[in-house]
Amino acid sequence: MKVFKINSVEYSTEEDITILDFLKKIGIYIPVLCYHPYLKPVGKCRICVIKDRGRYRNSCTTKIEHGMDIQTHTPELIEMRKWMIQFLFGERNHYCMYCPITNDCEFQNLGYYTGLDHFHFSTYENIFDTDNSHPYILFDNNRCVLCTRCIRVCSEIAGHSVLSEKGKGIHSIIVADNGVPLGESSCTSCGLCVQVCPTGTFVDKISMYQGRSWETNKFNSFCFSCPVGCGIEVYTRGSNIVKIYSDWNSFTKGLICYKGRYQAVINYRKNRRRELNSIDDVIEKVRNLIDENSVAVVDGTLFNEELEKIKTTFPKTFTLYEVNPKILQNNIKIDQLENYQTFIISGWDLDKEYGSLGSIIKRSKLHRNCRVIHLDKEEIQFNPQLTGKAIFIYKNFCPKQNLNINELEIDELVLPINTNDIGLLKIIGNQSISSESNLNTSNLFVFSRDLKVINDRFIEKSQRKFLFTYNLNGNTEMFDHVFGIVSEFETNGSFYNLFNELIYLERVFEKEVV
Amino acid sequence: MKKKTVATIWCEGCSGCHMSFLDMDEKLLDLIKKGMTFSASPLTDLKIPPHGTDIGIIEGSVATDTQEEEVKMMRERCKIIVAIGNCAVFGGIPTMRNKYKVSEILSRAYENAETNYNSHIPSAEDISKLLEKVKPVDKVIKVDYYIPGCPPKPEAIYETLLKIIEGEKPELKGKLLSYD
Repeated sequence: MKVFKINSVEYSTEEDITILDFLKKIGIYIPVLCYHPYLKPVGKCRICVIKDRGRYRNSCTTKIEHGMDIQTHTPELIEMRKWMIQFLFGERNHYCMYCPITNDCEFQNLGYYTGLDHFHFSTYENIFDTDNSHPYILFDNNRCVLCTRCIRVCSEIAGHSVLSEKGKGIHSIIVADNGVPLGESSCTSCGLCVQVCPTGTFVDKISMYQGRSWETNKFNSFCFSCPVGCGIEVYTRGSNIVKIYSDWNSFTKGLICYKGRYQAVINYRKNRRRELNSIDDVIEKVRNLIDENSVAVVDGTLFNEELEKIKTTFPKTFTLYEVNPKILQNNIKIDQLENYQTFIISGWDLDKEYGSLGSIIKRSKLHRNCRVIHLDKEEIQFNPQLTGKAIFIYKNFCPKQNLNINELEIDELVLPINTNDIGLLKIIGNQSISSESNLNTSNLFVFSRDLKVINDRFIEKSQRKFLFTYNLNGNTEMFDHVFGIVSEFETNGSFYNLFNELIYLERVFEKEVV
Repeated sequence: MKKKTVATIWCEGCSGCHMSFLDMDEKLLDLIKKGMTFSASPLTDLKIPPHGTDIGIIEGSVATDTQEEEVKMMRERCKIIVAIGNCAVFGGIPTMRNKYKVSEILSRAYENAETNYNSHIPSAEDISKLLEKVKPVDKVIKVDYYIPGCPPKPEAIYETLLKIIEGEKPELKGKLLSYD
């Protein structure tokens, strides 16, 4: 039992806990800058300084000890914090008025908190180049306070390890891949650096000037862009999505990739002025065209409820493509992935698809020294003497590799192509339209939120062709009529993610946006 | 009741702070009731305040030699100097030019600008010279109180002036302290 004093009040605890976490527990506010609740503390900025028996300590990195006598808000400490904030403000260009995140900035709020109304020192002496090479992120070292949150999130959470610090002292800057422009680096655009940056150093280009956090409504939801189904926070303002952040408290614990964070927003904005209807409404519109020879074709971009509605409405329902039935046997949970020592990858790129899964594998390699084997990239003579548990994660496994998966005792995780392929298999079954060779249809109804590839052999056989889609920029020219259906943000629905978990999505927008 | 005279000047700024000053609206009358009067100010169109002016308000940063002399003149003639607006307090938008040399800036504006034709850098004795670096006011003279903001909130100006007129020390807190 540790007994100690905080501001002359006696407390006791048995936990192995930092001073800052304990102060949070008992409701004493200490300003922080480099500290982030989901990252390892490094004690870089020293704004969380406290006084313990005459010595100054960082509350974020110091553990509670028996006999401590902690002072948190003496006039001396308050003055110290103000000076530290002032040093940081003076070092670089922290002129709030021309920063896109003003009024929504942790660092600015610290200035207000400490009552900083002018600088004692000259400013703006160091000028670095602004990096505008990245398609989604604006990167400006002139606004950096070197808290290294971005570096830590990039390696600890996302596992990409792109960002690092270069130079010494006041001349230190954050660099990507040891000094190349961010747009040319190995950055995968997960955007977590933007999410944790307390200043305007990393800014989302698509979200700037669209609305500050406090002007938006926040919805906790799940990403429908890929089968991982990461937990996300959707920030909306009116009928617009301002930004999508990852949800630290969801089952993916803050992981996200460019698909959920940027592409979903861009897609939504592209289509939000169009007339969109729910599946129920569009089916009512075409109900009199459905006869006994009508055929519906669906894919995994639809929700379970929509698939069921289509199945009960049309006499015949097929899937657009063949789905590997092995995905139904996926029974590994996301947390269990941390237990494996070897990851064997085939058919997908860790950086481009299933981004959060890629992050878990990359950070396992980085921090746990796991082995990652890419079957597609190199002809690996597979060594069956594996240390620890191994898992084979693949999308389209081609058996030409020298790997007989059945002989080795390794777990498998099969990646679905589209988000709700498991729901598609469970509800529609594995009847693919391309396997039906002599199919004569009168009216063909294709349902897909994002139609990418379609076999025109069966398109030619049908008399009239209808497409129900969300993304009009896809493959639409061969259809007679195209109807807009609502996005995942405008409807309630459920889907199965690749871990075979049923996820419910609540609509983010009250009404369909017309 | 003793009158408190107020003088204001406007250096390298956009006049937004003076607009914000006028935005005090009926509270201006309140201040006048409490004894505030104007001496030199863009509002009265007088240039030089008399010696012994109580409160000198400076908007804008110091970017030319004339402005440097003006703020020094304000310090000599006013008992209390208040810097208002981000330009006067921090340097503001005009400091964007600190990255470049003065000759580069003049050449870009007067010789190489896309809309210029056969033009040259104007030169005459009565044109002020640009300083090498734009400075906030407190790098030239001693400033007593600061009201940051772009523009500063009228309430912040009101609170500060009221406290000074009543003989107290002003301090901006909560929403009155703003950098944008």
